Amino acid sequence: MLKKQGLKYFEEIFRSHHSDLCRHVARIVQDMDAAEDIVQDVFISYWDKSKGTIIENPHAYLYRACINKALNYVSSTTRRAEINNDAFLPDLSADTRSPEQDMGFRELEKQVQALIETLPPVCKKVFLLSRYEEMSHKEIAAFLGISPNTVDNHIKKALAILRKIVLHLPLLLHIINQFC
Amino acid sequence: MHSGESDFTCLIIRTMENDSHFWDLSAKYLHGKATAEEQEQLQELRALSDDHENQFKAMEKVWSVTGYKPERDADTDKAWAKTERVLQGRINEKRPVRLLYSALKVAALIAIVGAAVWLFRSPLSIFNKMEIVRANGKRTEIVLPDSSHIWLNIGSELVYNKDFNGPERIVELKGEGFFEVQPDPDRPFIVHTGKVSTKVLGTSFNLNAYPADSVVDLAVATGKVLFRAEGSKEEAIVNRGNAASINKLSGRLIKSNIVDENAWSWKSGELKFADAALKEVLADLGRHYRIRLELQDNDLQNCRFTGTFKDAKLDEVLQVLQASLDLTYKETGNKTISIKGQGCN
Repeated sequence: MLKKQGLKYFEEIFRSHHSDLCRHVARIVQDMDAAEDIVQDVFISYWDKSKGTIIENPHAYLYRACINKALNYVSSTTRRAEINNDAFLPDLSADTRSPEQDMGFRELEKQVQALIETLPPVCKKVFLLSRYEEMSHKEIAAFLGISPNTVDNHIKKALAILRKIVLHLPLLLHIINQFC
Repeated sequence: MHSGESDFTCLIIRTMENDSHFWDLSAKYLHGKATAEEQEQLQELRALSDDHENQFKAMEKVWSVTGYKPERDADTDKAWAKTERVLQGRINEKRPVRLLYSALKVAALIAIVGAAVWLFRSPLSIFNKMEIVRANGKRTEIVLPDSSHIWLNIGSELVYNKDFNGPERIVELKGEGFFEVQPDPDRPFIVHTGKVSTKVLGTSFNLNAYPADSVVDLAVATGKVLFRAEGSKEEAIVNRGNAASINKLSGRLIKSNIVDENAWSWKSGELKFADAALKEVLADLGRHYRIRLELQDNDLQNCRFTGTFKDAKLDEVLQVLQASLDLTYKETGNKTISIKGQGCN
């Protein structure tokens, strides 16, 4: 009986947070399907941990758990394998581009994404939190439990690495700049 | 990574040192979240140093190629349906344990209810709504809720539950009673007399079970009766016209043939003898008046008697016998009378 009531309440929590959490996670993992899986996993492990007793405002917990899981996911080897023979790419404003431009943009994004994959784990996490979760140095330091100085080092390293690929692709960048 | 690229990386890292603030400001701007004041500050910093300008340009380019937006919104309905199935599975996994608990609860409840019912049904229970009928000084007729008739001999006691609705009709008898049980095949009628039980479906019988006596006597008038000693488990089905007795101490059951209405003569107060052997007459008298009558002379064995007594006193009966059979009687002890005579030819 109690468990049923818990399930009902749990559904409320699920519905009020699910799409927002998925949006956050999808930006990090760049894949809505994977994001939905991650968010579901987080909700289920939250259910298991809480044993049906839901705290009043679990958003902070859920957000943190989702982002952490997303960061771990993009650092995982399976994820890497996926990317390497990837068929999927996010389709950014596809209807405004010519097929050639589209191809170029896709190619660039694919390469940037592959490069993000190659970043060292902490470096990658710092960059993703800055880029997609729009966290400041301070916030990233607090989230990852590292010092702001370390965050600074990682973030600059990440930018330096990412910038390389941008510099190596001047033509594609030119195309992109036209649209940005 | 090649050495040239490493140098390049180092250069960028070095030039950006001590300026996490500029990064945050740039990022905020690129996210479109910078206030007018912050935008102005960013412009100033970019104009102030080439390093800042270069970093900003690099960030801008990286931002532009990493500007991922999810290809679709999350499908919350579908996701919940999926999640609910998983959670339901989790709940079901735990069900066996919960079922066990439930089973234990039910078992405990049954035990409690059972105990309560037992307490209610037990003739001795203080929780019982028991009816106790005592025949003080005169014979008493009782009509039970099921329309069975019971006659209680003087000094006897019957206990039964007023409701009398159980699967068995149970009464407890101390002393002597004659039962005319209303037939009900589904609800046996059971008379408890200490360690002896008498179970019938619908019949009439006399039961003599005074607590002070060592035997319980049964005499069946109609139908059949299951007569049982609880201790020894000895039991017998006793048919109409037959009698049986159980020794309360040994549990031994003895069947005896031939009983007549005199077996429950106390009920009507009438003793009838039709060419009866003196031995039987004395047995009936002993039962009726609750005394012992001892034949001193074996010659008296062949005497027979015919006659009827109605509400007669023991002395009157003995005087009639004395006159009819030419015998003498004498009280020799506590409730014992010895009889002597020449015998009959």
